[in-house]
Amino acid sequence: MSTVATDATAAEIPLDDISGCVWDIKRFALHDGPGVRTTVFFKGCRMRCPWCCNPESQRPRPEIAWLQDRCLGCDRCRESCPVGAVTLENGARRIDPELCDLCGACLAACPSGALNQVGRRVAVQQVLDEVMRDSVFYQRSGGGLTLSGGEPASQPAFAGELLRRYKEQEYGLHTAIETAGHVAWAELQSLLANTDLVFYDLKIMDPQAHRRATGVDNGLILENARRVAGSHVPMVIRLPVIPGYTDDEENVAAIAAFVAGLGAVRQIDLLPYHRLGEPKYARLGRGYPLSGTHQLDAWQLERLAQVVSQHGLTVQIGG
Amino acid sequence: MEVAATKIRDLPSERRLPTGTVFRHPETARPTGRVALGVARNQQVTPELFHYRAVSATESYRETEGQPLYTRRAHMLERVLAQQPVLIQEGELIVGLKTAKPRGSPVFPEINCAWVERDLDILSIRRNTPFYVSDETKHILRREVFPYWRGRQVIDRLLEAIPPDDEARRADARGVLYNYFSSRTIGHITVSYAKVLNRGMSGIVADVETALKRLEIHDPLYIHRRQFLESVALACEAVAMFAWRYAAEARRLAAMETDPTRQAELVKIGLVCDRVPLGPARTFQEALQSFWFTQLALNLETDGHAISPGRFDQYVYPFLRRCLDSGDLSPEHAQELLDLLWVKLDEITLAKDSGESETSSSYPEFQNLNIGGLTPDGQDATNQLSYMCLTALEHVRLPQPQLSAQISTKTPWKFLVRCCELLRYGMGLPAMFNSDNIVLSLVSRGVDLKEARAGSVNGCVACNVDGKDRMASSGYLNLAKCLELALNKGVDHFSGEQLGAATGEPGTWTSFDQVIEAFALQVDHFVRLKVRYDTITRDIYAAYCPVPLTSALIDDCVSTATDWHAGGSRYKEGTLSAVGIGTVADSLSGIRKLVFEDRTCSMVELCQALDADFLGHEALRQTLVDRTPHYGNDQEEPDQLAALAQQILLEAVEKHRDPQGGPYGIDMLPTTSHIALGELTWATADGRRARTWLSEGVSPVQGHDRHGPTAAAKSVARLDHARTNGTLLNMKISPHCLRTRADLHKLGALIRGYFDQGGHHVQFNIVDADMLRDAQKRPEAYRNLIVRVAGYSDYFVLLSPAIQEEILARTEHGL
Repeated sequence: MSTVATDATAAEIPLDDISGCVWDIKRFALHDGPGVRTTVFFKGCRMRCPWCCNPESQRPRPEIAWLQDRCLGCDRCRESCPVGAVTLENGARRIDPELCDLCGACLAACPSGALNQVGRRVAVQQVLDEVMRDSVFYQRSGGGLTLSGGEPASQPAFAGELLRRYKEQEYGLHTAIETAGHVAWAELQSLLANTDLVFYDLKIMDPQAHRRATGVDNGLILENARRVAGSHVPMVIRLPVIPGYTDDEENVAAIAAFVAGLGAVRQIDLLPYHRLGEPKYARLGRGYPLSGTHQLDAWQLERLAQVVSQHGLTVQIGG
Repeated sequence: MEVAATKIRDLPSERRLPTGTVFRHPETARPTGRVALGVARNQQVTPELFHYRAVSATESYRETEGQPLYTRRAHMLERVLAQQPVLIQEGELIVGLKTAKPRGSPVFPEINCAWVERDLDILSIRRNTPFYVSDETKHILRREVFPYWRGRQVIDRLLEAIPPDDEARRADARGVLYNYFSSRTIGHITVSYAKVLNRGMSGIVADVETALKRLEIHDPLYIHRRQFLESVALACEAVAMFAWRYAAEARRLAAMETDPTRQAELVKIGLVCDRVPLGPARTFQEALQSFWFTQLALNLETDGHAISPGRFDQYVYPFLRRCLDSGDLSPEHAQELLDLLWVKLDEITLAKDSGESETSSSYPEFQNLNIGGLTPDGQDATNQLSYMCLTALEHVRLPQPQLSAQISTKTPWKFLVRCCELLRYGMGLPAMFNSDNIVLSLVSRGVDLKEARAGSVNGCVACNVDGKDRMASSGYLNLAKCLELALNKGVDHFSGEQLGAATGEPGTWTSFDQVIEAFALQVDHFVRLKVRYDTITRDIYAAYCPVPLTSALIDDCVSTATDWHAGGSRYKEGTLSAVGIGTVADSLSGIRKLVFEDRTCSMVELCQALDADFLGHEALRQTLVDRTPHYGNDQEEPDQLAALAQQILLEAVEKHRDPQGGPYGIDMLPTTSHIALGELTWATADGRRARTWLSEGVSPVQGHDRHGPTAAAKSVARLDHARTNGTLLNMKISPHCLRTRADLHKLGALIRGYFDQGGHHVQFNIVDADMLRDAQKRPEAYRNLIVRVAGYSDYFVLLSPAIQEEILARTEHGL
């Protein structure tokens, strides 16, 4: 669900609080760390992995998404837009993110909720108020707060303050972050003081291939992985297994060897490719880069799991 | 009840789980051969209507004409049990059948056989819960039963007292009320099984003799009371004689048996049936058999539903402990005996008239069996038998008994997680209950603290004092219909009839308070009708349908020499079940937001849209569905409207007293009435179209809770659960959320967290492919259904059809 799940977001941001851009707050998140958790999804990521299942997390600014199945076709959105950002192309509505100034006129005009703003600027305390609604469930399960992305470390002041105040206000309940590691070390490091668990994505070991697939070099990512491993904060490596990109045995073996060499890290989660992000691309008026790619069979994943475990690591399929 | 009714009616024997699951059925999940045989027998048999009981009852009533009614009732039970077919099925160790085949239904002509006569030819082909009727049965019923009873049934007395044109009956026909007690007796019985197990029927007869001696000849009701007490003793002895017929049958079969092992078993069955239920049970097998004969006889005395075993693991445990400690019984054999009892409990069913088969569309008879909870001293009551009951469920995987796990703050975490492990099978069992709320609820209606701690759940979710209570819900009050009438001056949209109070013209209202006021007036009006109906029907049952056996087993019927139907139990509460709280909360929220806050729509416009069932007003409807705050999302404003609606109902109900001397209260459960009553409810201001279903129990409107189960739980907990006699919350969870052992702890935390907030009950639908298919057809009702695979989640209905198909294929493959 690509809306921020809080009423508080409609309120004014207090001037004395740090704010950031968030595109979802997901309660009862079960697979982003131990226990029952709330996951806060940050907006903005410098990488452009074509398999990304959360394309709405990539651009740093809020944007408007269109849900075809809810649309009544009444055209009130186009009529209401003062800057002409809403267009109709082949029966699909497109909201030009360059033209759109997020005035909200189309959202107010839409009677059926077919238009949604993805991403809002919110203050730390507004997010915390939402996160702490499920305190009773964290206490009962050993759960807590997870920051996910986009890239949480791309908004280091906001993320750092969120973690710090959560730890303070919830008397030290559990925190986790999910990062792809392509950020300046100082930014990532600033989060670690109040983080109990790091989920760290590694995709491709070959620098050229990594750049080709994701648009960025992996030098910084690998360097940061070594530094996190040396920081004494527990770390789990996550490897998205994408056909044609990351799924060759050589790549998986290289990643496993690298991880084994980190010393402090004992587990790799293999995240099988799925196409569930595809409709989100359409909602944002974008094409799906991986159309035609098929999911892996269970036996293929088992093989890769064996490759990982040969390096003495625990492997789990699925996050 | 909801579980039994809609989720597991046609439960497949083997539940499969999603692919990639870490979960494996443990070795212990396999029942023994004879248990599997019993399970298969129950699954294969066609529910059938039988005439035996009807014929016996008719013969007995003919012969006892002119005698006191108490005596006639006891003789009837005696005759029924004496002529009942006696059958010991292959492999059985616990014996006794309600009809000539498992899952058959008798007829109770003295209560109401008019409906059977009316429906006899369509009973086997009706859409809800059909029963096969053989030509022979039809013939015998038509020749020997129906003619005698015309004008002599309890329903005839009821119709004289409350004729069809009575306001309460009109409200029933138009879907504001649904009145129980017209097609069957009051039911909702949890007797003191402990008394039978520990003292035997002979012990109860001794109590009756003491009570007889204490009777004062100067008591103006002396003869009345003496007749009652004598009938109680007669009924107790009738059950013992029924057991002896089984003892004789066991010996007959033993004499013919060639397999020495089976022969020894049959001999043992004979000895057990000689002993119990007349005498106290000594062994585990005797305790189970004594329990079963009691259960069976109660099911043949009246047609009341929810004859619930109550705190089974408490009163049976001492027998298990004794046998295990002495080494007379192995744990494996104890489990097998328990499994076999589970199969027997699943054999119980009852044909209902066509109206009730819509509102309670289920074969299971709401035999609520409780495990866990608290002891009377307030300690954790979980014991070895509690866990064995869960294993029995795992072994048989049948819809009955309706297993309820009571969870208190003292319950071991391990027990809660084991319950979660069973929930993963997708049966919706066990239902999870908060013991601490049961205690609060019972104490708040005047029950002694120790007795409250020993309280159980009866039927669906109702709090009950074991062996000392009478708290049956009398049917449903449709809150959504009350709001419909409030917005239409009390006039029914379907018939144009003035059905409710003539509340004001909505177009003239200038504040939201006036909406609330009109709603409160309608609720008050119909509660008064309902209470009047209940009072009269209870009087009729007290006057025409004494229940000597039930009275024998419920305190203080014997010591006060008062029949259970006449209010002899120590505790009693008049109860009605409220339906549609979610629909009302969201409707009120929509009206407040659009008409009185945003002022984007006038009251007149809103009522016009409702009158038109939103035809030509689709934009407004979508706004109501999507752009107004909804109950179930952990938002204070709409949740407080649900609490307000509940408060209004409580105030309307609590000012009444049960005619037999108890308080009047509510519970909030739907069975399947939210569908039947929804068909008679016009469009509502939550964007719901006319004739579609209402919200069920205390659950949010289907698809309107969109922030996950923790948010829904917190919203629902904003209702006052302690001030009800029970609330029902359904949750849907994807099986993919329960793949690993760690996930079980998370589900446990969800349940425990809901109970920490004061919730009463929650049950889970671990969704399967059928539900996902339904979600494709009616996406609006499933907007909250989360599908989670790998690290990504989205709402199922927001996925493209192709991906939905993909997930479906996967789920179907795995499930």
